[in-house]
Amino acid sequence: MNAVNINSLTKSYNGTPAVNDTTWSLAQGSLMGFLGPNGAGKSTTIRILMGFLKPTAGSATVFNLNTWQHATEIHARTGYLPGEVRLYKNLTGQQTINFATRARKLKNQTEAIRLATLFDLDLRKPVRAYSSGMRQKLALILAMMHQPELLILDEPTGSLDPLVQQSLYTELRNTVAKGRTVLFSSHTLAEVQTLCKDVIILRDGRVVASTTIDKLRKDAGRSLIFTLKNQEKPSSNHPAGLTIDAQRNGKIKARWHGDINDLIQWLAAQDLHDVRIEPPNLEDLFLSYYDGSTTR
Amino acid sequence: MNLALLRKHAHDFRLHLVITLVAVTGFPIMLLNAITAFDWEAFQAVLRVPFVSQLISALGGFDPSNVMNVTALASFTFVHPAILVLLSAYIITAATRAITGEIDQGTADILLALPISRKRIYTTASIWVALCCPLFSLFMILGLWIAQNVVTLDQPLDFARIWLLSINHVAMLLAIVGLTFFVSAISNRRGLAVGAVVGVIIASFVINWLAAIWPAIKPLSHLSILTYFRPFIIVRDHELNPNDIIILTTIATTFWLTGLITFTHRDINVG
Repeated sequence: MNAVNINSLTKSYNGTPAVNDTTWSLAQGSLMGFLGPNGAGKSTTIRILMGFLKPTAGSATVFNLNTWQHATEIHARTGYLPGEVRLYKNLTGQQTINFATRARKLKNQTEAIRLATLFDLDLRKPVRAYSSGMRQKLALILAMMHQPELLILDEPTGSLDPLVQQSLYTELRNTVAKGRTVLFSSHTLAEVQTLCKDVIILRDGRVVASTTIDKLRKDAGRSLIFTLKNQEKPSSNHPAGLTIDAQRNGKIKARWHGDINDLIQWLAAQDLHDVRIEPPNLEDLFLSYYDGSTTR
Repeated sequence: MNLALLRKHAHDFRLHLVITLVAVTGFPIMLLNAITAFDWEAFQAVLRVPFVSQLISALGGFDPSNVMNVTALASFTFVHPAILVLLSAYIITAATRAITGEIDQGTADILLALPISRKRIYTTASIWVALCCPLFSLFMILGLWIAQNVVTLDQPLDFARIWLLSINHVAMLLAIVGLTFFVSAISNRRGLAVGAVVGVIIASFVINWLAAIWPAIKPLSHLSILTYFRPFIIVRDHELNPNDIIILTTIATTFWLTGLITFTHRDINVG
């Protein structure tokens, strides 16, 4: 069963689409990366999922409930961290949690206190005295304190120090291990590839890739540099998976897509002085999605 | 209504509310004390000056020099510009902060992510502000009661007439509440919402004042909320004008409901 279903979803402002005919789903119990540059439509999609925005066309459902018509029911089962965290400055951290506890009709604050301890957040201070990182931590607690079935995080790590980031990653992995679902929005691939198995990449309001990190790695190809001993060019025709980008004084820069054994076999037939094969460069592929040179 | 949200409104506005209540209680005492300090005949003469008479008439709905007694004087506290500004400021601050202020400051993302429907958010904020309106009138009457006991008055205040005019007063305040919630529900910027409501209230006052000195403007006075609050007439006739109450309640309900429908159907994009 899917926690989220998005079907031909479009959201336009004055005729300009911010999200354009996107269709994707998020399976329950998964942790999915939601990637795209700023302005790609990630936050707009998330705001539709939260029922803050009404779709122009198409539909969005969470737990099979229409996000516009059943926002309150969805909110009871969902945690949300906004992209830009703004909290009530006149309240302390504890008062903010007390308010959320009452609004969510929670019986206790055990989980909120556990998270505050985990993130090392002093709840006695007024929010106006908090740094941006502390506000981010408090907003994360508000999103997670009711142990929601679906957690939607819009660029959650921007203001967090590396130690807290690691704590959050561990927390998210535990959350998914318990069968809950996480949608993790980000504009950097590095954190998503350490955390998520599945990714959706958005550009200009459209889904340009809906795939797995493994598949991305496979598609990314390897870059290699090899130097030939006595010749400028390889002795035999190179295989189809090899694309030569540059060659100078016997030093050849190339990219390989395909089975690595075929590459090794072909390299063995060459009169090599040196060879360096680098791991798949996911970032390059990711950037190619961003600049529009790749669409899947 | 949502109790958690109501508690938050009470927490957010407790100081502002206490200051306003102290001011509306203290104002009648100060005003009656100041008025009784003047020579009564000299005071009547001042009221007969056309500009003063027109100004008070614009505020109170009737030429005060014709009905001037202690109770009519006391009723002037309900329409005094200082009280009008003070109460409007409270209503506008509270109503705009609860709706458009959340959007403008970006806290709407946190609030709307809670399992509280927009309808309840709007209704709870409205209940908080609307409940304050009779409280203000009540504290003004309390101020008058204290004034009667601490200031030497020529004759006792007629509280039966004052209670009656307080109904009209609450209806006028509720009309401002309805208007403010409507403007707040359709706005993304709190400053604009505040400016719009203040503009309407000032325009109401100016229309009333102009209508008192310039008969050609008289038909326009029906567009002014303040036209339907006439304390001097209530004090003079010892009866409410049901039309005034109906019109003010209709204004309040129409604006409030339109605001509710707008707020529950609009996109929310924070600051």
